[in-house]
Amino acid sequence: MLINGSREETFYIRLPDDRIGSPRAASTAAFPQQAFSPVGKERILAELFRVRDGDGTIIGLATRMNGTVPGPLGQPEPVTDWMLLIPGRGALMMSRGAIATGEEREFYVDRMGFSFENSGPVISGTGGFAGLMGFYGEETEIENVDANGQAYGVVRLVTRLRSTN
Amino acid sequence: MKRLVGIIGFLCGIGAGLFMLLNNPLSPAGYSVTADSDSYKWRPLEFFGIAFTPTELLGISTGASDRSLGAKEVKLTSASIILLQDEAGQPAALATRLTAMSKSPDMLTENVGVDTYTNIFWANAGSVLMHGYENRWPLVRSHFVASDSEAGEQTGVTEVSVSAERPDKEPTGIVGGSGVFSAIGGRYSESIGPDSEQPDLYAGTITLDIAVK
Repeated sequence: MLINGSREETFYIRLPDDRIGSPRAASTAAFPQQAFSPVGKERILAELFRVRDGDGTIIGLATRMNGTVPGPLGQPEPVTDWMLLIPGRGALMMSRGAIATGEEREFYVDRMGFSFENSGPVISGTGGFAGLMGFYGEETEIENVDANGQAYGVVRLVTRLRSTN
Repeated sequence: MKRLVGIIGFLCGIGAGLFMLLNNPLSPAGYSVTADSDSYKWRPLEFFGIAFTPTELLGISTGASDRSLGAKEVKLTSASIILLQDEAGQPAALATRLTAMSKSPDMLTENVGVDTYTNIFWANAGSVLMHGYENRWPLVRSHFVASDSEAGEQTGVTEVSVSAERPDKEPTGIVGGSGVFSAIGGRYSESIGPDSEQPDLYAGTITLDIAVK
């Protein structure tokens, strides 16, 4: 419990154990070339993960999508969307770059203590996460990269949520 | 006379049972989005977990072990990466999806509820995050109707509309977006059927009705 009445909870993804699918992750669709910028650097990255609690028990699943979209002035803007599903409890949809339906673009002077680098608002929650608002932070800690380029480490999804009531 | 009444009663019972099977008023109301909407065909590029096929739901599936999620805590869920194609069959967007059994299937109300969470990403355009609810009962029904049919193997099961209102009336649809879809809302509906390339999985059509809020 944090001092402002919000609650912090951290979800863990161990790399590479919790990546679901091919070891080097991600599927990138074979889009027509014109779907990309002329420099060809933009791509959409989609990843699937198992999610653990602090005790290391698998408790759910997560997906992460990352890509570049036009910002408010048309400038390229990176976006990362997360979906987190904990069976029997509910789901959280979070994003660094997306805006919840019906809300205005905000620049969030206070992100409940998160840095601006890798954090964003909770867009929506269901089940036990319904009626909560707040932010998440994505912390990646890579311990080692082997000769094949395989990363070993952990991704921590830290959520700080409080009731909207 | 008693025998005749008995036979008539028996036949009426079968008829009532069939009527309830096909038109159960307790079943969650289905819906489909049509007006001014964009439709995309989709199929899974990667799939792990349970596909909620009739055989899996009845626990008689042989199950593809290489699609296991590897933990009992997530045995009634799935995670997938899906490709959306436009009307010309060209790749249009990439999406991820998480699904979970909503509650135990309720045969009385013909409700096999599945919660779906979908994130669609259009390259250099934007993304949407969506929460949906599906009733897979029509697929169960279609599966057994097709199985009983002599021509079932030839005709197979075509796409079936699965989008439905949640029994608890919790709203579903688009909950947020980025890029050109920032802050938009709207609804979507889906119909699904066996994937021609991976028959133990579903593919389908998703129709989006995006609204500027």
